[in-house]
Amino acid sequence: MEFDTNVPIYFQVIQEIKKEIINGSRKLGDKLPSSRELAVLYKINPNTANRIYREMELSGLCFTKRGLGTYITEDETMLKQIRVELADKLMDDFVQGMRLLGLSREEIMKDLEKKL
Amino acid sequence: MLECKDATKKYMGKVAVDRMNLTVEKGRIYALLGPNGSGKTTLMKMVAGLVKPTEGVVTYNKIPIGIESKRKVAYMSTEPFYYNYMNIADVGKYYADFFEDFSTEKYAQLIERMNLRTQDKVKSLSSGMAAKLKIAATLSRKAELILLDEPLNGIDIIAREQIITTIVESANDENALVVSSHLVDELEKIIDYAVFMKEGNLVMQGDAEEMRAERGMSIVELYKRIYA
Amino acid sequence: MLQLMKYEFRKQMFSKIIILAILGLMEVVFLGAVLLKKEEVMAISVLGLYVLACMAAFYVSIEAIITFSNDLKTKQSYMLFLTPKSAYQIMGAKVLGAIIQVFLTAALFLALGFADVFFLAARYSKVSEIIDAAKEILSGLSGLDITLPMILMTLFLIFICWISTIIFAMLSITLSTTVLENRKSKWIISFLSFILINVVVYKTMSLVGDQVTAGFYISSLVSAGISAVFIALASIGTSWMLEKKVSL
Repeated sequence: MEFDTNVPIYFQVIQEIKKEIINGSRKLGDKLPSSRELAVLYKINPNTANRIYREMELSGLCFTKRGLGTYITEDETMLKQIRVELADKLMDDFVQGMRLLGLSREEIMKDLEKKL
Repeated sequence: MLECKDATKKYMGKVAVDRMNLTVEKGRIYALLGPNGSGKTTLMKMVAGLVKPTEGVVTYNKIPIGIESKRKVAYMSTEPFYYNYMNIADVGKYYADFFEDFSTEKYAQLIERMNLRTQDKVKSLSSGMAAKLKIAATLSRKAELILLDEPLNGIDIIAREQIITTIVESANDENALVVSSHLVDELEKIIDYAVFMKEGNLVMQGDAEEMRAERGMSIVELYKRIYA
Repeated sequence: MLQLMKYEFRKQMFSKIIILAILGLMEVVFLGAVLLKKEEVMAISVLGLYVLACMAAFYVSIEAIITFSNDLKTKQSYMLFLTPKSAYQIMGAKVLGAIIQVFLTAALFLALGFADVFFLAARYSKVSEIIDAAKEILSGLSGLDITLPMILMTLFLIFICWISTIIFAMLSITLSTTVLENRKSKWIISFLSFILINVVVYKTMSLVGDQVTAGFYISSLVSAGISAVFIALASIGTSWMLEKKVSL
């Protein structure tokens, strides 16, 4: 995966994993790769990989079964939450971009209607 | 594990490394950054025991660099350095003869992954293949400190990916890696710690993530800022 | 150190195989010529064997020196100096390696030479008469009765001198690398210091030699002893410089 050098790497990988959960390539309750495997998979620093799981665990996105590894949460409400979060982020980027182009609220709405 | 105290190397009055102070701890990947001629190679060679410091000391586990440290430190130079008579299998035998931490199985594995052939003569390898061979031989040692001098120099994208993957795989909590490069973007996502050198001096060092957060710029941008 | 020696031989093996191959070929030609009594071919092959012996003796020494130089002045040096071995072990392997190679080369050519002469003598009765005559002339010239121990002692002296030349060359190369890191005049300095070392050794020998007025054996042993001391000093000095001073 390509990284944006301006955003922390751990954050970008978490976003990527979230997208994979939403699009179904990772399912709720699935086992995640070990942090070493994650590091190799995304070609990132092993300590960054550790941090990714720490952060994800803190936000309730995954949990650790002692001696077995890390699993994606089975909590379905999490799924909705991620979707809302990702959509929100996309919306923010979209609106910000359109504003930068100098488009008004009405123009943005019209364009959006057309696209949909 | 590694400590440089005022390490200095002068060649005929010209200073290659100037009073360098640096500590390397295990469980981390370090980037040693700087343009050509900034003293990265000389510093690494001092740690490897190939260059004797003119002033100051370099110690590994509190003991000055020597036979003991050479058992634990693996150094990979930019240039190929194997004997002309050797083929790829001979290189493995040589390492196995001299380094207790060398794993013949891992070497065989890496050679296969890098698409190299054991019977190929070292002399006849392309620069990309030679670079992959050096990485395979060096990382087949379970060394505590691994020094890689410009491992990505002059190598195509595919080989780069293979080498980066192998480097990441080799990192663990018990070892430390120091990777030098002037191609910073290749290293950005795999490093814990960045050390910037300029004309033999240390100009900046720190935790990569902290540097990014504090300055609001990537290591690549920081590099451009320092050396532009 | 055995591992180090193994690679000293391995690095220099190729040329030895070539020499052996040529030697084998010439020997076959020579023996064939003797058996078939083809005098012309015999003469040429004897000449060839002699030239080969001289060249081999020269080349074995030169190669030991060239290998040392490459092991110090090229990237190849990392191979040796990254291993967890001290410079004393590395130098020890080189010195022993050189001694063994020179000894084996000398022994091989001498043994073959003697064997060939005896073979010749057996085939041609006249040859043994010539050998006897040569012996008489030699002892007449030198005023000495040439005996086998005397020949062996002379060979031993040549051997020691040969080894010391190699070791002194190694010392000179190390000296120039240490004193003049990366200077272009390295080769000249190497050569000059080589000459200087040899002059010093020669002067010492003649100084000591003047004091000793004993017979052939005693004075030979004394000069061999002096050479051995210088070889040891040069080896230790080289190792010390490699250990403490040399930057690759």
